[in-house]
Amino acid sequence: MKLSGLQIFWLMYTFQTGNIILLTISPVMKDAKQDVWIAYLIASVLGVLIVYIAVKTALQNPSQTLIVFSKRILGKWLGTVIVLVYLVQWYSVIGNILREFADFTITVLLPRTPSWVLLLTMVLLLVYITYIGGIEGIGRCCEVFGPIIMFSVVMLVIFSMKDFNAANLLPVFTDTGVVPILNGALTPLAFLGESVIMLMLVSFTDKPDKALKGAVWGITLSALTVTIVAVCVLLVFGPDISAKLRHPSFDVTSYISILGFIQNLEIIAVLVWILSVFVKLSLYFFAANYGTAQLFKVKNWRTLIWFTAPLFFCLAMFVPSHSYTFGYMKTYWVYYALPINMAGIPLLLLLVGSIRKKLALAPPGQ
Amino acid sequence: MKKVFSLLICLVILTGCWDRKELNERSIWLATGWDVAEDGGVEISGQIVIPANVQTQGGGGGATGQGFFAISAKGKDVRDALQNMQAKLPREAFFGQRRVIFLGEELAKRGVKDKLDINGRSADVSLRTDIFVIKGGTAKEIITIANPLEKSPVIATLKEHQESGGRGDTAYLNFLTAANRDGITPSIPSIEITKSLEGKAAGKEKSPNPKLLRLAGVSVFDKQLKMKGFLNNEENRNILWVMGFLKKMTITIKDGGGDKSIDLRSIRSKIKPTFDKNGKPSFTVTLTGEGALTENNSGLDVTYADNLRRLEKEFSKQAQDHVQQTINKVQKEYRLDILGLGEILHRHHPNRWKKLKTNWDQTFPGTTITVQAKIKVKQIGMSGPSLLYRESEIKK
Repeated sequence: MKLSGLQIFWLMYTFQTGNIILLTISPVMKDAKQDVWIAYLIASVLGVLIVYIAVKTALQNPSQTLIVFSKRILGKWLGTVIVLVYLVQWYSVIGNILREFADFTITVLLPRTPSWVLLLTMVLLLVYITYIGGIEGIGRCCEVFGPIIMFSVVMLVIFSMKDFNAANLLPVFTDTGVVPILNGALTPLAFLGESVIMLMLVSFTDKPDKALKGAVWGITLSALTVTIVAVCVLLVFGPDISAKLRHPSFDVTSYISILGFIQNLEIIAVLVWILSVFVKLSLYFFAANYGTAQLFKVKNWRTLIWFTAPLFFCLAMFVPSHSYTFGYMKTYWVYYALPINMAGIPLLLLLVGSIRKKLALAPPGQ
Repeated sequence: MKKVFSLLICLVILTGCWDRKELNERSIWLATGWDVAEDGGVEISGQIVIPANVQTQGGGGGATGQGFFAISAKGKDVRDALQNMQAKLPREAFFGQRRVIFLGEELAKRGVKDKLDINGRSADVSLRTDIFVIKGGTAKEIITIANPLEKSPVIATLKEHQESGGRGDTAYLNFLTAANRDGITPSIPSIEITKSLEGKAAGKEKSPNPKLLRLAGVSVFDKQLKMKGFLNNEENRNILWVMGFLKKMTITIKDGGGDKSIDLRSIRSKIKPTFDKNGKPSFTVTLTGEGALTENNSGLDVTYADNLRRLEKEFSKQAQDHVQQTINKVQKEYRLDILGLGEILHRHHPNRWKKLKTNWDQTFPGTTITVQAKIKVKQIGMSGPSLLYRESEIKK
């Protein structure tokens, strides 16, 4: 299983773009109002920093995954704890995304379809791609999906230009201030920070040094796309309405009307999102399975799929809590996963790892 | 292994689907009307396409009947009313093509804040929709009126709205935005029932003088989203011009020696706030417009530059006076900032606005607003002076 630099690029782009566009714009508008673009730019810079740190950390041991090198760097016990922290993130997020996927699809597309059908379809697809293709299969998928997503987003932005109202950008900064803008930046940052999964992926690249370039460019471009879409939503709807809609970017697409016949394009937005969600899920699914297998020293990680797939299905289907559906991203993701999993641990690993390297290089006795 | 997988996936994907709905199982809904029911709930009326009668292809004959029918039901809220309506509707209502919302005058007066949520919650309707308050009527009446030119009267309404240079299908979003802001009070276009020939009793269906819908200006709402009153079509145009929405307009000068008209096409507005030393704002509204002289019943020969300049001045003066009057009326009669001048302050002087916004409703009626209009004649048409004047009568 090998990934090329280009695949890493598209992997990161697809992994991020759709989900951030659909889910983050509304919460950011709530805090940062007409200054969303500042919030997104801040989040973009920090997001790129996170992926840079993650890849740098992984490049210290380019042939090993997080599961192995965290133990090597921090010792057996602390290393295992860290791996468990990540596994909690991966396992829980899969259930949440699956549920988000079913909820959204039922709301906008298939109101009478029971959610188990959607969940089962998605889980089967996940099993299919991870079992047959592994990480390489996911990477190849992204090379196809990524350009489709990029093209669709660009097209939708162009179509909605007619409805732009530049006055929605004003006044800059006075209504909000530093704290609300930074607060707003947290949500997209917590999504962009998911690129920390590069800790797992670097070891699968054929030329690890290409991974850094691919990942950084993928996140940069994704962040840029998302910022443009957020500004586009702001220009069409203004901050007040966008903050109250759950998926303002979706509503902007359904607002498009060109010459009275290019209308009802929301299906394209749904397509972009489902492609992106599929990639996101399969990447997490792969990481969860592979990671668990390595942790418990299971020889063939693929056998684990038969246990985890039903688990995720049940997690999404039978944990009937609203806070898991609507509050997960707002609380766990922003206040726990972002500072610990996405920023804290990679930095710790990088620091300790580089100190160890120096110590190892320094001749003994000096 | 692969085969098992493919089989499994085929099983799930290819077995048909819960939400398959053929077109002939759906009733395509074009317009929704909101009225007050006697018990205080809502009465929802809908205009639904009769598919067999709207097919235009297939040669002459065939589809000759009415392209739509109207239906209504009462309920506590919209969904409740729709449930009651479904009891007499054989097909499931489909709202994806809903283009217009009509609000009965009575409902608008009682307030719409707790009535219209469905338009933002339901996934199949777009926020792009036209919305009207019915002047002196109910939505239930409006929704039955056919248009001789369009199979669906709703399309006719939309086109009327766009052709007359108004907000068109962005009206609902405009209303929502205004309802969410401090510096502007919402307004909704209004519509009324009239007949094709003025002053004659309307004939029956298919007569050459049918009932028609006519734009009737704009309705003014307060912050609680209760309707306070109407402005007529001319006042509406003046207001839209100030707000920057207006796309076209005709100005006519009444003159003893013959009236003249200009069709404005390129229309703009610029609002500049200034502050006195107490921080009290005043506004200068600069209106510009360019267009073609389309009627000149006087003996004025417009091929002479001086005459044109004089005309431009007259047009400008007229526009200036009329817009000023409209603004004065809004300030005195309604005391509500439907022009969005507060938003102008908010955008360009946000720090001053923070102090002004709490009292804006009291400040606005007493604010000085000066209007300046600059109108340019770009084309004069096919004749210099009117062809009906003799050489000796022409003013050069």
